[in-house]
Amino acid sequence: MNTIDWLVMGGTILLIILYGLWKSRDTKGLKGYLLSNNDLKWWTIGLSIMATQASAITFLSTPGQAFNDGMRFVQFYFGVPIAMVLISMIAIPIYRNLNVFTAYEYLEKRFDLNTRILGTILFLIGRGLAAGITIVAPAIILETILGWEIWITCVAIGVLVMVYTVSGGTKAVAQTQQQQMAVILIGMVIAAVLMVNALPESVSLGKAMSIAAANGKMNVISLPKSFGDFFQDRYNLLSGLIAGSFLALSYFGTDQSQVQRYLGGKSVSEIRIGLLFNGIFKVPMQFGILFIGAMMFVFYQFAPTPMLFNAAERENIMNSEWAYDYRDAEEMYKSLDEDKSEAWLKWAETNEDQYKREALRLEEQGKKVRETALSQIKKVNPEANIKDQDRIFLNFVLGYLPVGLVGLLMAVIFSAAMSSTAAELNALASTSSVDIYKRLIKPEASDDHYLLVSRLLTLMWGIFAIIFAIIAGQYENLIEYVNILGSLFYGTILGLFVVAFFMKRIKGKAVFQAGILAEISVVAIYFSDVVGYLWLNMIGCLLVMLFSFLFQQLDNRS
Amino acid sequence: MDKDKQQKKQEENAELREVFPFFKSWNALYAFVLGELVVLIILFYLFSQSFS
Repeated sequence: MNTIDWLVMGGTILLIILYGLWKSRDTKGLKGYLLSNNDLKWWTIGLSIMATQASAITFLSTPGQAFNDGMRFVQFYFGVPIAMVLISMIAIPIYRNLNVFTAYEYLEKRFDLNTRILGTILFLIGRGLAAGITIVAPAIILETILGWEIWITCVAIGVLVMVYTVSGGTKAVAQTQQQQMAVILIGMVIAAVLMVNALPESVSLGKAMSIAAANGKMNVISLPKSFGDFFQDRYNLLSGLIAGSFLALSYFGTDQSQVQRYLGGKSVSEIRIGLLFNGIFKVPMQFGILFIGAMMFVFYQFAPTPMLFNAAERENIMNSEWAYDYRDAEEMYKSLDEDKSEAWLKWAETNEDQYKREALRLEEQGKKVRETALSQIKKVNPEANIKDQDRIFLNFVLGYLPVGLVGLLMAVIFSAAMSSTAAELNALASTSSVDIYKRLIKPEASDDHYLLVSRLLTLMWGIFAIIFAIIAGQYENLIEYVNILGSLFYGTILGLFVVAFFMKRIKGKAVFQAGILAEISVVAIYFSDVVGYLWLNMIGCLLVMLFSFLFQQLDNRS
Repeated sequence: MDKDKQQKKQEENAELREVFPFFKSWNALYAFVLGELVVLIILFYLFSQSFS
C-alpha cells in the first residue's frame, strides 16, 4: 500500500472516531450510555442496524461468493423484510412499553429470573466468542495478502473500537456506524463503477451480464429440485423465505447486539421506520454487492486470473515436492485463461456463438486443471484452506484500483469490522451489566456506579475479544466452530421469545425446561447432519414451543 | 378505555405522517415492505430466466 492509501485509510478511520467521540461527548448516566437517552432518529437506527450486520467478511466474502457460486446467495436475505415487519408489529411496542435495557429483561417480566438468565447466558457465550471472530476474520485475510501480522490487525481494530465504545456507549456506536455505512456504500459503488469501466471497450454492460450468465453467475432465484434439496441446499427460494425468516427474527429480534441498536430510538415510530428502512434496502444492497461479484468474474475473464487466490497455500505447495507439478498446472491454467480471454473478446466483437462455446469449453478445462491442482494442495496439507473466495475482491482492489482508492476500500473493510465489533462490545457490556451485575450481584447502587461498571465491562469484553481473536487466528478451524456454535443457540433464544409473545398460558418453569431440552436436541440434530444449519433456527424455535406446551400440560395435571 | 385507545392510535398515526407522508397507517407501510419483497422476487426471477 502506498503512502497516500495509508493517509486516506487512516484519515477516514480517525475522522469517524473523532466524530463519534464528539457526538457522544455529553453521555451521562446508565440510560444515556446504554440507550442514548432515547434520542436516536430512524435513519440512525436503520443505518446502525445495517452496519451491525455487515461485518468486514460481508464485503470481502460476498463478492467472492458470487464469483464462485453466482448470485443466488441473495435469497439468504429474503427473510429480512418479513422479520422487520413482524418485529415492528409485535416486539417493538412490548420492549418500549416495558422500558427495558436488554431483550432478556423482558423474559423475566414475562416468565421468571431463570429464563432471563438462560437467554442471557446463551447470548453471552455465542456473541462473546463471535466478537473475537469479527475481528480476526479480516485480519487473517489481510495477513495472507498484505503480510500484516494477525495480532497487530486484531489489536488495532479492537483498540480503535474501544476508544469510542467505552467512552460514548450506544450513542457513539450509532453515530460512527452512520459514517461507516456511508464510507462502505461510497467505496463499494466506486469499486463497481471502476470494475465495469475496466472491461474491454467491446464488452458493454449487457455483454458482461451475458458472459456472467453463460457461466451460471446470474442465477438469482433457484428453486429446490427435490425434497432433499429443500433441507440440504443452503440457498434456494424456499429456504431463504422460511428458514431465512426464522434466522432474521432471532438475529434482529432477540440478539442484543441488534436489539440495542433500536432500543435507543426516540419513539416507537422512529424504531419501526428504522427497522423497515432496513427491510426495504437490505435485499437490494446485497443484490448490489453480489452483482459486483458477478462483474468481478467477468473482469477476470479478461485479466490474468490466479489459479488460487490464497497466496499462502500456493507458497506452501511451491515449497513441497509437488512444486513442479503445481507449476505445470499453473502454466496450463494461464494458457487456457489467455485463450479464453481471446475467445470472449472475439464473441464480444462478432456476436458469433462459436466463440462463446469455445470460451465456455476453455473455462471448463481451466476448472478441471484447478481442481487437480487443489487436490494436490490437499495432499500436501490436508488442513489447507483452498476456499479462496474471501481473497478475490481484495486481490482486485489491490491489483487494479488507483492509488487513494485502495486506501478508501481498506477503510471500507476496517469500517465494517469496527462497526460490527462496536455493536457487539456495546451489547455484551449492556447484557452483563444489566442482566448479570445489576440483577444478581449488586441490585442497589447509584446510577454513576452502574455507568462505571458498564464502561469497565465494555473494556473487559474488548480485551477478551482481542485475546480470543489472536488465539483464533492461529487455529482457523476454531472460527468455523464458533460460527456454528452461535447458530446452534439462535433458535432456542427465539423460541423463548415466541413463547413469551404468543403462548400466554405458558409459565416460567415450563419454558425454562423446554429451552434446555430444545438446546440439547438442536445440538444432537446438528451432529446427526440431517439438515442444513440454516434450518436449525426454525427447529430450535419450534422445539421450544412444543416442549413448553407439553411441560405446561404436565405441570397443570400435577 | 376506548377513548384512550383511540387517542393513542391517533397520536401514533400523526407521528407516522410526520415522517412518511405517503402512508396512512402502519399496516400500509408493512404492506409496502412485503410488497417490495414480492416485486423484488418476481424481478429477480425474470432476471434469472432472461439470462438462463
